[in-house]
Amino acid sequence: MTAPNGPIPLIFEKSSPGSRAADLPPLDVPASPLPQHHLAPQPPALPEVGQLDLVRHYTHLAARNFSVDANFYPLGSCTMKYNPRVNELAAAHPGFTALHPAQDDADVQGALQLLHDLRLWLAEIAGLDEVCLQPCAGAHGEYTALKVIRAYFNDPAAGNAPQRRKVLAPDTAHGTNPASCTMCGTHVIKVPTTQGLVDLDALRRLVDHETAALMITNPNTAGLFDHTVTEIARILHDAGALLYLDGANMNAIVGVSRPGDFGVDIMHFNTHKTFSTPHGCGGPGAGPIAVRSFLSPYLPVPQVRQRLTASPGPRYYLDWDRPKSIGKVRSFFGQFAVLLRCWSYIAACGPRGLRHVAETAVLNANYLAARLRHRYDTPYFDPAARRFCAHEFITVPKPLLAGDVSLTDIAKRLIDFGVHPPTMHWPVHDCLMIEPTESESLATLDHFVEVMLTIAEEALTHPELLKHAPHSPSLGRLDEVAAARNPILAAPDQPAARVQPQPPSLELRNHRPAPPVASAVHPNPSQSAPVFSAGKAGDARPFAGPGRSSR
Amino acid sequence: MDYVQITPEQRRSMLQAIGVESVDDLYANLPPEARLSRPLQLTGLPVGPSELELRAKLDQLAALNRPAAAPGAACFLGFGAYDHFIPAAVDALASQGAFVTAYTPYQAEASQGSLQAFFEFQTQVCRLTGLDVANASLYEGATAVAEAVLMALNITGRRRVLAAATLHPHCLATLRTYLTDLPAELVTVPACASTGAVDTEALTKAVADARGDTAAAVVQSPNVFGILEDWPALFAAAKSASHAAGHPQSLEHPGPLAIAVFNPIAAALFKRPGDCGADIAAAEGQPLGIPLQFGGPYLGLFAARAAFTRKMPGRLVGQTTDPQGRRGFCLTLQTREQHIRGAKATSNICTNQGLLALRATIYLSALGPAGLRDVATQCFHKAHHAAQRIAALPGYSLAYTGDFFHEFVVNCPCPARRLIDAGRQRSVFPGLDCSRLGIGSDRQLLIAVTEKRTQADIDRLVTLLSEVSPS
Ligand SMILES: Cc1ncc(COP(=O)(O)O)c(C=O)c1O
Repeated sequence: MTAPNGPIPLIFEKSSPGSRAADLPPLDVPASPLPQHHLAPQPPALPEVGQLDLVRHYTHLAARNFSVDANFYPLGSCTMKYNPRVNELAAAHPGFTALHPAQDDADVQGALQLLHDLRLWLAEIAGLDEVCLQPCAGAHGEYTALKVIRAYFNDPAAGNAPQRRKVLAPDTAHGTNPASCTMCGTHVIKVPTTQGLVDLDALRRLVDHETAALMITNPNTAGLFDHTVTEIARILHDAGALLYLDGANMNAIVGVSRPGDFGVDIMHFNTHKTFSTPHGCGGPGAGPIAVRSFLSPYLPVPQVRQRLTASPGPRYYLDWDRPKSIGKVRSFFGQFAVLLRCWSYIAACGPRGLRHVAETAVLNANYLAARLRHRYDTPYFDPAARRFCAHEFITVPKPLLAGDVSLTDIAKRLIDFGVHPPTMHWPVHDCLMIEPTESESLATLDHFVEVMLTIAEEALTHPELLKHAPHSPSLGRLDEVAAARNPILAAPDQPAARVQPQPPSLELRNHRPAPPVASAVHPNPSQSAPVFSAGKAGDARPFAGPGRSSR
Repeated sequence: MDYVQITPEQRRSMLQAIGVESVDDLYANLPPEARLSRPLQLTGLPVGPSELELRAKLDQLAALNRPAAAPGAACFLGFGAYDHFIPAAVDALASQGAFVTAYTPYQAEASQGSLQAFFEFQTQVCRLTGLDVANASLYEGATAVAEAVLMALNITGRRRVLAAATLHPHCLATLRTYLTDLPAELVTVPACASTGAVDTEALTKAVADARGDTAAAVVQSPNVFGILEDWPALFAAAKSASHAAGHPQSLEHPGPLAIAVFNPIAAALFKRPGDCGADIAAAEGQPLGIPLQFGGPYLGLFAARAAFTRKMPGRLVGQTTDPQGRRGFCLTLQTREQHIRGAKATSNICTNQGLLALRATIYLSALGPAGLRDVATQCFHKAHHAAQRIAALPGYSLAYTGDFFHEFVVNCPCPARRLIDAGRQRSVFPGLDCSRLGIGSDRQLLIAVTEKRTQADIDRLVTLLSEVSPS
């Protein structure tokens, strides 16, 4: 059975009292008295559904997603590469899933060995000395790294420059870079870029004795390898500051070039970009960081270590005794099941495979850029002038946007062709950032080119096709402005079945009846949370007013 | 196997289409000193890693582990990570490629599956916490608590954070890291040595000492010893002490905020954070259908009162409509987030724990209200049965008198270490050595009992403890 057309009711709307999809054996011990004053009068109002309906519901929802498994997904900066099946198998191995994180080191030697291998491999890939596997994602890696940098400069026996609290970042930096600085209590200062590259004169002017680091992305967010990076590193190092690399774009250079070799002191990886761990509708990822040895004393506890064979105790262990460490940045010690997939991917590829991956990612991006540039302007890509892109490129399709066609229209039209839209409006307004990854076949790349050229043609001849895209039978373009103006962030407390459904409109005749959205579209102000109207109630605003900065 | 599909032949034709001779030409921007002129040296890498060999290597590594939650083992380990029953449907549904290999649902029309699931998740978390708004997940428990505290600092403009000493030590340590270098001060509020719960008077005093500068009071229940804290009394005390000190609470001056660190299974049985005066609730969501998997990835749960919506960290899914008025979902209130707001964002979080949130959603939908309460109730009764039998053994006693949920500390007549080592041959994992966790002595065991443990498992535990000689 295929998923129904039209909206799928919420799981709460499929609830029928008394249904259950899971059961437990009867209690086999004597009951003890419950502490009455702590008890809740009734359990939380969760849905009550049978197992088949549960399975059908989440199977139908899955059918409403684009995914790498089903679609070309050229989302720039996100590296939507193929997620190998064997990695999922590895992560589901009971020898790993059933490990408790507080077990003795002696009980978890296989897991620790795996983490230890990965630590060494990532250090080699980075060209740096030490790795911490703990951060939960790229942004958390940035945060952890900035804390490490701060601790180093605060240490009188090392960096000894507590005044270094300024962090520089190019104006094309990913939003997490400045946001991570704020969370660390550091000031972030924008460095201008020209032609997609860091403006060196501006950088020289901005670097001073209060500068802790520059956060760069290289290849950068415009899809270019910044060839001045070694000069950038020199400028920072001469001023006593450090160079941080946002490793989101490592897929272009793994095995080809090592950040440590071009002057980077500290960096993060995104395993969910470079090393094929799946994005899972938004997460989980992992953001290991790599550092030069002078920064390693400050890494979070614990670190995985290997004992010399002569000394007693298990071969691999977690080292909690790190007096200069910044402490903990999360519970336990990492996104283990993600790191396990990362291990499995690196192991499968091997040194030659990794390099082949990077080269193919770059090849595919340049191929697409070369084939599209006549219709989709590529400001930084011009093979005649020997200006190539790394693993992704941006296009600013100005001629197509001359009429009343918007970038969003182009993006939404791609959905009709089964292609996930590229990243939009970043790092510059009205750009598409296209990253095909190494995974795709030539046939898929060529198909994408055809689709893009078709859409370019449509933009000029049939713009209405774009304006109303996507033309899916189940749902048209959604009103995101309305969603933000009148936030409905949870289903109403009352079972929605009690609300009169709207009569199906003519267009909907052949579909399932529209779900009962009446109460949601016009939220009843008297209804208590969770459906609330932030605009009307006025109570969602007081703390967002001017004058109060966000930490 | 590098999973690349482009053939050498195709590569040549693609290079031609670009107008270059070799891939090296495409790296023209790489300065020579930035080029690696040798192959990477990946030590210990299995050679010739075909899938078959890779799987053999993974099996070898897995075989070096002794998993506490393996079939046949009796696992009494807790400390924030619990061995609960996971219905088969959770794995089956959450491992669909359409969920596993999708990105963050920025393109709403291409992501309705994830978006609706997260909307259901947010609704479920609201109902578990008794609060108005929940986000679509944070990384894990400790960072979720840290985010709650940062949010409270931001909302109140105050500096002092009062954290119960009975918070999970990793949570407390993470909080400490997050607060250093910020204009904030962390003060821990001690627990009563006999009950194992936070002392209301100590909290009242800490609030008074802060002289109106208390941004938040953070209390975990069940706490790290498994003891149920008296949230209503503690939160009321924090607020009234602040009031008494001449700092009444109002919309403009909302401090101090009450932050409840909860257990989502316990929420099916006991009063929820929102029912106890909490303004923000944060939790480790691992118990909701997520395997132990050596500590991660887990799931950060986060909910707050509606008034604080625009100060919340993380993604929010909202309901909206298409041109035909049909209901759909999209990410919303994104002006809070880093990709719009940069340095002024409410948090730096970008990638979150989507797939784990999906697991939790399916788990909660599978169990339903009765099932989840059943899980909680069985945890309670099994833990209490085990505790009574252990306390009846010569030399053993419960360390604390407070009411507990499914975890408790016992004083042992011998080093806990010896019991743990003796359990190894019998596949009994009797608990954790409190000295190793930093929450007690080396003669104390922290024991957790979930619904998965049978009477027979508990017999094995009691037998182990009774047989290991105290000498
Ligand atoms: C350039 C860049 N930096 C940082 C990040 C943040 O990484 P994460 O989403 O893993 O936190 C991303 C990805 O979203 C990115 O593209």
